[in-house]
Amino acid sequence: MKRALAVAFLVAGTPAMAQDMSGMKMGNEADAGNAQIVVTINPEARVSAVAGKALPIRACGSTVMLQVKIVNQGSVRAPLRTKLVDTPENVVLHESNVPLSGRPEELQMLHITSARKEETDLTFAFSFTNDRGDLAYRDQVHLLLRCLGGQ
Amino acid sequence: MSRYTSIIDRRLVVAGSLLASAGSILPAVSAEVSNVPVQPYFASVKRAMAAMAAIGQPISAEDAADLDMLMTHADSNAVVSADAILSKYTLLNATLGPDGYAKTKITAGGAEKRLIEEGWTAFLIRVANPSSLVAKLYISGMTGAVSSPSTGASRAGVRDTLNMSASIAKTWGRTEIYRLPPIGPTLSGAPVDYQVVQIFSRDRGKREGSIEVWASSDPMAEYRDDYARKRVQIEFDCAPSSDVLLRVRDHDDRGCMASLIIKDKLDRIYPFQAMRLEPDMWFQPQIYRADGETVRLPDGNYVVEARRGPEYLVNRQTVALKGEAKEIHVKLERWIDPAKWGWYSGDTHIHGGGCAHYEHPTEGVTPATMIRHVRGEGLAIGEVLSWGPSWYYQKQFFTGHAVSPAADLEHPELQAADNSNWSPKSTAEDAESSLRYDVEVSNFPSSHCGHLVLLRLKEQDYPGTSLIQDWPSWNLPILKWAKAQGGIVGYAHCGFGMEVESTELPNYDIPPMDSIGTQEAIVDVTHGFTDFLSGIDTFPIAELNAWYHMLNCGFRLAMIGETDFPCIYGERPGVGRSYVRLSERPIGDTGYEAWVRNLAQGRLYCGDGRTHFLDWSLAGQRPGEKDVQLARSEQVSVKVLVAARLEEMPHADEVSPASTPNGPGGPLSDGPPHGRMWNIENARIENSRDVPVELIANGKVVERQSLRADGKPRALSFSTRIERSSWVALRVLPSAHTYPVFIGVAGKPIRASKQSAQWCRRCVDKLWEAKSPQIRETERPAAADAYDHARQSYDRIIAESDQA
Repeated sequence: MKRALAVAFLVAGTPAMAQDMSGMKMGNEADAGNAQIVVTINPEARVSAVAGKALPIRACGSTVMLQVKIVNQGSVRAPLRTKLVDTPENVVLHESNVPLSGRPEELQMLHITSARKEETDLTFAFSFTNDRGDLAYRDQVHLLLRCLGGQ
Repeated sequence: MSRYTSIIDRRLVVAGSLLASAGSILPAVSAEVSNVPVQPYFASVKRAMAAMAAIGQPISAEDAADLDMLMTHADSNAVVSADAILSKYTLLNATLGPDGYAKTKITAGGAEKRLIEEGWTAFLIRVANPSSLVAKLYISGMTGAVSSPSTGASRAGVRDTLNMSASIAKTWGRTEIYRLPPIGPTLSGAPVDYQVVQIFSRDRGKREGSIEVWASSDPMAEYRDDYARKRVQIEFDCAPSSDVLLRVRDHDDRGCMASLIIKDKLDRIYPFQAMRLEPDMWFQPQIYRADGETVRLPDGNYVVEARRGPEYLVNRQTVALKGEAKEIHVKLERWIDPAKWGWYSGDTHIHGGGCAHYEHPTEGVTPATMIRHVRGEGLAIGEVLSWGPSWYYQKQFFTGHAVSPAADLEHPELQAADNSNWSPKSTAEDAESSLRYDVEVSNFPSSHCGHLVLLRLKEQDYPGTSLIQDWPSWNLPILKWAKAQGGIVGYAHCGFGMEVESTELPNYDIPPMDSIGTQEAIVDVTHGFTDFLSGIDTFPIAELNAWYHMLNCGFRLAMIGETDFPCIYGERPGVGRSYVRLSERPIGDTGYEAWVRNLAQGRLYCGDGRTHFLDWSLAGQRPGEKDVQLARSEQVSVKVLVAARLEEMPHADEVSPASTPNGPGGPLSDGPPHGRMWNIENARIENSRDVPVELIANGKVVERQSLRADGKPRALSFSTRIERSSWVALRVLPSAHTYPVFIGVAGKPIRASKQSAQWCRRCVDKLWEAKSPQIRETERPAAADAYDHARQSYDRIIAESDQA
């Protein structure tokens, strides 16, 4: 809608200023706040994920906490499963396995330990206990874990 | 020499020769490579490969195998080799400047610059990103930006905002960056990122385009700063295409609608998948075409795979298209025709909006598109359910009647601008498929109690409501309202929230009741307001366990088949379906009424359409008719005519059904320990072509026989002793399940298992614990009374059950 509005303003000869548009959210981009990942559980309990705020650069080999914002349109109360796709060597994801509250929005944390000394691409896949994510890879999101003091 | 060394050596030679002979093709690769972190590089390569496959233009199998090998030996040499392999798919090499604009360098890649007239072609872009920009990559210069802002799904225009057809028709070429998963909307920030660009050509012959590449995280960047963008001139050779006439004939030589997957020798799918317009779907490899319709293709050799639902054999043929007057002839062949025995299939849970379709509330497709898909899957009935995400748009199609509309194009002006000028054609079989628009109570206030499927409604708005938010916050009031108007009601995707650790069936573990399946049905069935559980799209054990327990308590409700298209399955409608017995083919409103009435009466079996219980009876009584009455315990005989079909060996399509870009949860998902998904391949007995046919009495297997699954109907006989009032059914797990025949012994009600009644009783408490906090305070007293009624009902049944 934001794009369409921008185009409409242009067509009308009165292009919108960037600051006017900044408060409008693209339909396919979640309002992440401080979260690194936004997970949306649709009414049919399909789980999709998009990247939010970039991960901060950290010291190589340290641990990192990721904030996951969960938009729960399905009122689901099962634990949200997270796994790493093609887990890189020396990276461990500590899954919390805490059931969702069923509320429309909540936050969960992911705890990752990485002993790697270089940039690492992490692909997360989200699902429920029935192993059901979303169609077309929408249950996956990738983030770059960057660090200082390594190679 | 190892295979890896061989690949490295071969690719190094290729890369070296390319660099030496055409330095502009792979600029600065060797200088970059030593600084490229290998793991993020190959993660990006893998995503690009997945995206190319998902949109129907995969990397060749040989190259993909070489890349897979390189990934396992990842080092800097492997990066050089991978770049060399990918160069033939790469249209552009871009090295981004620090601001994404001014110091960006762009050169042509090594891909053949071949486009298709009136079609789309995908290429890779190799993006060197030394400044670690986490920004959107843009490509412009030719007309672009035709994707839907609601989902990012690539579509030609957003009709409810702007009519794009004029601008679509104005220019010869358009570009579109692929921003969908698994690549995602932005660059990752890694030093090298492979992205995918799609280019459309309206014309044939030589055409030159000026292409800009730039990156920005400013959402308004598309509309300014164009002076700073860098560009490169590319000359394309646009292969001519033409409309190919399709002759689609059914087994009896009547024209019909069918599903067609068209691939070239490189496994590229036509029409280009990612940029399709309805009725062709971007999330499906197939298109649906009727006899006499056309598809736009360039000259070449193609493999055409035709299907029409699970009752047909897959028809594969190679065709060569050259010159004028091109035609493709498809002759469909059935392996079974259940209608000969009076069985007609329907899918009672498909959607015209939401999930894979579109997320924008005013989007979705019309009956003209839905009927095309339903006809193409050989379904007699398609229940199109309006639900939360597209409710206010889709509900306009509700009429309270079954319809069989023309499969017209929704937006012929966009088709004309974007694709070929194909004209919809009617066929002799059109009337044999009908749509009925009804309701799924999903994304409504009560949805936490399980999603309701409400069929045969006369009114679709709950009394006194104008908004979804006004509806009740628990299910029983809705069920009462729907039943009062003659509706047939039940619970969708019934296995959700019912998964337990046990893999036994039946089992007595209490499910978490934390999702949107059977849930409140265990309460509602005691009030007489649940006609069915709807499954075949979730784990069989999770679906069947609750059904068996409720049947053991003496309640009567059906298990029916659904797909929840395109939410649980985007592949096609009819992945899960119900076969209902009728005296004649269901045509129009009268036919629908008969079909859904017999569905509610239990004259059905459900499954994946690959096993068919063509006729069966117990002591001469068929399911859905009268109960068998016995004066005392007695041995009874069961006669069944059953057919099933497996390929001789597991076929690649079955082992990996996700030729569409679906992730986990496909029909053959290994999945968690709750069992495997509905698919006859999962019923195969070891390496044979046999499947087990099981006689079930009160939820337990009492006899099992092997059936040769070669498609031929075979007669089997079973015999079992009925000790007390019982229900008996047949199944091939996980492919099909019948409705039971009920047997009364000495006039007593079915109280088959005290344990089952105790399980249901404990579930009521678990449900109240899980669901009541989300029920509105104003409605909670009534809900509490209803739950108490359920507790009392199960307590009474426990007391009446003498069998543990």
